[in-house]
Amino acid sequence: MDKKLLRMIAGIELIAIFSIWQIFSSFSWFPTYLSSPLAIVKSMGELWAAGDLVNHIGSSLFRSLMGFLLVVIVGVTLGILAGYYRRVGTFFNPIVNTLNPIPKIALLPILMVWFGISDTTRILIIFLTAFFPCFVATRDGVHSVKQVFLWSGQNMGANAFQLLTKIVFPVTLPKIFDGLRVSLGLTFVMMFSSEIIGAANGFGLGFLILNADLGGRTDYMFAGVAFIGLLGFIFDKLLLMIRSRVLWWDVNKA
Amino acid sequence: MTIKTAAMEIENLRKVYSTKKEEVVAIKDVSLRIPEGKFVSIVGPSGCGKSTFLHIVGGFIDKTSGKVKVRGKEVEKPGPDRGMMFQESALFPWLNVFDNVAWGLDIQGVPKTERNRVVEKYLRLVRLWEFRNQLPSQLSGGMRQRVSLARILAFDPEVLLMDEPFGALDAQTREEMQVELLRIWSESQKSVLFVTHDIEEAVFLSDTVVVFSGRPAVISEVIDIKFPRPRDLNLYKSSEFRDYRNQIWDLLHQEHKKPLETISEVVNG
Amino acid sequence: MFKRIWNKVLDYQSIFILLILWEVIAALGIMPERLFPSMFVVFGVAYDLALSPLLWDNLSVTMVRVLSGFTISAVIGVPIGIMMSRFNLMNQLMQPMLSIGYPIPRVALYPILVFMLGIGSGSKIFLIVLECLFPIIINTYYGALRVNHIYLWASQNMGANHYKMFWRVLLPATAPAIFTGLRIALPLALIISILTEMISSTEGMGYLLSFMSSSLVQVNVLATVLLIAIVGYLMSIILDVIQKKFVFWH
Repeated sequence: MDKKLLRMIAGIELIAIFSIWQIFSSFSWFPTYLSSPLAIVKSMGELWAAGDLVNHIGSSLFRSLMGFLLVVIVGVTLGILAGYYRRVGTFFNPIVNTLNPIPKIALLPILMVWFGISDTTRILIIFLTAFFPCFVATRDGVHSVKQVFLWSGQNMGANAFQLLTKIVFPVTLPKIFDGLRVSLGLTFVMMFSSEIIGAANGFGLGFLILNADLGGRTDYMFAGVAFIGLLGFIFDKLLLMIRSRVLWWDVNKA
Repeated sequence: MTIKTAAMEIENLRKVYSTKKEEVVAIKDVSLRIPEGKFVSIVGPSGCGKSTFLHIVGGFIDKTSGKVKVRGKEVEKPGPDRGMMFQESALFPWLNVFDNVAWGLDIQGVPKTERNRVVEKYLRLVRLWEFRNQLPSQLSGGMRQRVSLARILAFDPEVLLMDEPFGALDAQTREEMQVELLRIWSESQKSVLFVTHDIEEAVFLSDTVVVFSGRPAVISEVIDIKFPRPRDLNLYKSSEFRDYRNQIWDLLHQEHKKPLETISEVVNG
Repeated sequence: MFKRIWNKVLDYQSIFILLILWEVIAALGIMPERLFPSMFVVFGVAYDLALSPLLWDNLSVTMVRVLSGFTISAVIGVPIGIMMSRFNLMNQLMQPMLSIGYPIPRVALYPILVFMLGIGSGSKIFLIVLECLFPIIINTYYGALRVNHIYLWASQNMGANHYKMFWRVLLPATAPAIFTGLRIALPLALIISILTEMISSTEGMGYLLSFMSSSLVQVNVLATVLLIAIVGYLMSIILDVIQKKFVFWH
């Protein structure tokens, strides 16, 4: 479909929603806790001016990106090895199949007992949650590599390692990015969750929202939510941008 | 003068697939000798094991027993002494035409200047030098198979193995590709083992047509095609061509009766 | 018989290795027992818990939330997805919403939902719906889009009207894709339910987990996690069975 048209429709829809919200709030047809878009933007500005916001966003981003980086390194490596070497696969598959349907958020209290309410706990829970989509997508991607690609590679004299790095990896890359996109979404979900469960003093957008909640400042809550939403949105677009850079040859773009 | 060894020698090749319940003999003691510089085709009904046969010669799948020799050397695993061309394009979609052809040379550690010279030579041979910066997805099916051919010729294999390389092309492109293949082949003079289900294609291209009968694969006939070379598409219209075609057609259709009978048995039973 | 059991053990060797490793660490006392109890103790506590009303009261609350949220999103999401594939206007209106809404961590809205709908099931079910709608709509849409036009033409040719075409052709042909969406959505529903219950609730499995962890007795926490894991596992098996029954031809 036409991208420009879609963008225009998106803009109109957003403006419509915010206008209705604003009008309803202005006439007090909404309960006051729903605040109003203008008030929220004002609060966002206040938060920014107060200076702590950079710290909040910085801490949240640090946790998210550390977790995500771990996922990229461990998830992709293990996924490729598990897909390519049958022995590695038979070792990891039962673990992954058993753990995958479990809501990983339930592991948060276990980690909290071991590592306290700390960044280690938060990064670990982000990693544990976001690891699975990446691993599964990568492994299945390796399995979907066409036999003729491998045969051609062997035919031209490539050894097992060359097949892995020069054929299996590039063929799997689109699938890896698909998995990473899901993982990235989960990263931000778990960042928020791990910050809001088990209250602690410190910085982080989850704390910001939690404190606003306790203080009854819904406009600050909305502002915090808006910042988390923006982060999720921006990093998703960033990942898609990297994808289209790296996979410029891929015809079926996401 | 020394006695010429054959380009490819296959002795008593047998392939058995064993499942838990039964053993299926896919290829039953096939022996075949392909002289140096000859173009040999294998035709047979689909599923008769002719592709399996070629994949074993290529070293991609294991044989159960028998011997496969290429220029006197026994085949055990895939290697660049045998250039293999597949029906579906095996070109790597993330590399452009040039890099695809250069891939095998890079793997074998050919120096860059030499590599570039070879790639250019073969891309010019298949008349696709102008397309060297395109991606495979931007080419037509026929062009893609020409690049595949260039990629194989580039690493200078001793023999060529072709598994229905034109099977996915439309009739017109296929005929063009046949002429093109003969032209390129006549310049390289490598022995070719060519698998197809298309009788006319086999007759047009080959010095010898080997007719396989299916399940398990055995050789039912070996027919020498005595047309002079170079050949062109007018050959298709000649009566000798039709004679060859009809002869092979009859051989294949004796085979075809069998599955039909079994189907009618199933229907009636 | 013995050999078959042995083969199963070999298939799941990694699980056994991890369990043995766990037991060795627990037995050697590298970590204090309060923090790192033996799995056998955990199994025992989980068994006791499974027999107590504590589990069943909270589990039933969570299951009601999960299933109602899941059902609502399926009932809304599947028709939206199919309509998007059939009507261009619907598609143009929905696509931007989806592409903006998808990457946003929607759970962050939870505190606001609590303000609006209270701390009970309402806010939780709403968030579950919000979360599950996306995979269901997206998978249904792409699935319905890929339904071969020949099926639709053939059914029109045989005189099917719009109503029949939807129920007899479009829906069954899209069913595998719909199930792919549901497969993603169901675990999400459980995750969101437990997550929101952990953030703020007075009942539910997430609440039970928070309650257990506030005591800092790891064995209780592990037992609760084990039970949640079993619930998650059973849910995925049940969905497998239903899927096999409905889309057996796929």
